[in-house]
Amino acid sequence: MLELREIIFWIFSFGLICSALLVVTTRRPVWSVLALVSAFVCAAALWVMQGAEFLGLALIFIYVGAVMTLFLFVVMMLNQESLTAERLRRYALPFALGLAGFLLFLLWHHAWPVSVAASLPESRFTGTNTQALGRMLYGSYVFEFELAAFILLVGMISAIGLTFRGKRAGNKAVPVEAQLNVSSKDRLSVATFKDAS
Amino acid sequence: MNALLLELWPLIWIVFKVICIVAPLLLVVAYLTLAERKVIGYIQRRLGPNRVGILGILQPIADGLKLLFKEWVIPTKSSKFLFIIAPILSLVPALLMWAVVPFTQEWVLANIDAGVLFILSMASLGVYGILLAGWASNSKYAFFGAMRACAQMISYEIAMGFALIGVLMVSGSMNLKTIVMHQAGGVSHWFVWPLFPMFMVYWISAIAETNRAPFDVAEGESEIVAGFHVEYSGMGFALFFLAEYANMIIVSALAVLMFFGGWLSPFEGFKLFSGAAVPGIIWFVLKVFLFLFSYLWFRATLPRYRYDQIMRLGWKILIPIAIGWIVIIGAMIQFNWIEV
Repeated sequence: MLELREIIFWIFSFGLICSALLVVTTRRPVWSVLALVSAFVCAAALWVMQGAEFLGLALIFIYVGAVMTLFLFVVMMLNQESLTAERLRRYALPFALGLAGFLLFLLWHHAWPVSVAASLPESRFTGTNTQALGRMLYGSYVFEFELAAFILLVGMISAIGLTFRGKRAGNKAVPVEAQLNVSSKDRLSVATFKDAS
Repeated sequence: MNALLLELWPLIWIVFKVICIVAPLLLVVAYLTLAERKVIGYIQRRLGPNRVGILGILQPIADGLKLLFKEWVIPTKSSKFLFIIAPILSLVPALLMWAVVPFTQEWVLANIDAGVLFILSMASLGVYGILLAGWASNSKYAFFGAMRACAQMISYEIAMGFALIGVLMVSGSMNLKTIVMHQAGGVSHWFVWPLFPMFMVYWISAIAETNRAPFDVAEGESEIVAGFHVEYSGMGFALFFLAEYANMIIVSALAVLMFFGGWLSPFEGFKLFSGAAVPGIIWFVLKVFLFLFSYLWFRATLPRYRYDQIMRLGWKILIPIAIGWIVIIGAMIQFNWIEV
């Protein structure tokens, strides 16, 4: 009889492979994004089972919760037909086969160890894996980490710089300060009528 | 047979505990809808529902039965599978979050170390149900609602996350039980005092996250009919309703756990009101109800925000306040102004 843990592992591994296949085989872009979401969730579950609960939950929080939502947002706005154009499909199969061959070559060339865990060096850190991760990122690799953050900041600013064209002429938007300074006298006037009785 | 039962026993025990959490939760959801109609009724000098049962006490049951037996209309040219799965996708994360909530010191289903992170990641999944409902309905109003909800939830998630970072810094843990135990010692030890701006940021973004008034532009009856769930009827609509109210209760419970001492009594330290007299669960439920009442109060009092005002509030006011206060908390911890 299988252990409960093992059953859970097989469910999520099978789910991961199936959804990864669905990402590339389905012709509907929205389904493709959803399959990728499901792949992320399955991968996160596998990481949590390995004891890396911080990484697993951060994967769901950042990738599934934020990045993929924006992906879905964009894909939903696109014209669905234009994505499945014939000219794209013509190159897809040779490219995929080439990439698969290259990856297989890499695996064969480096003689990938059967158990990744056994080949890893003994951990230098004590404590929970969250603490180890924190010491690693903000200790040993702090320069690289900050550099990556800086590159992301540059990317963000340049994206804003590319899309922001300044105030357009004829914009009817009211400045927020003017909105806040409105008093009831500007909007309402009380009229007095002569008493009818 | 006996051996099999013994092996499955932990599983059965967990399922039993899950039922013990979900059944009262659904009951609270049902009566929260009645409370909402009653409270808003009284605020507007009306009576609210008072025909079904004494003082309308059976109204939620009548509503539930009505929704259960209504026809579920699926629009033509909609994406059928996504249309059906969307309400489920919005309800499941709302219920999942309860797995890590400690009701008292002993009553918690899964006392995991990364509890706060688990809740944040589950809360971020809730947007998929809304987004898919809006897209799969193949209706422009539903799509507008989904777009609005999506942008709003992503923006306020950031402010909410920063507000919770303050709690993590002061308590030094992501385990909800540890966070509550750090606040032991009466009302003056609760995190709401050193973290008051964080609490305000958290509570405003929590209301925006649950798409409730005054941030309910995703439903905006006066502009886009009923927003993302305009095409849903019967049980599909009921599931969205359940998810919305379950989310309201969980963010209230989180506010209580992280800023208001969870199940701890406010009078700890006073001999007369020592914690043993009143069980912790009563304090917890009372505090959660206080926050739920404020939800209803806001809805009856405040007009709906305009969309650009929501974005301005989230990005230009709440996030800078939260980031600024993180620096101040860091200074407070460094100079030992608060105990850590």
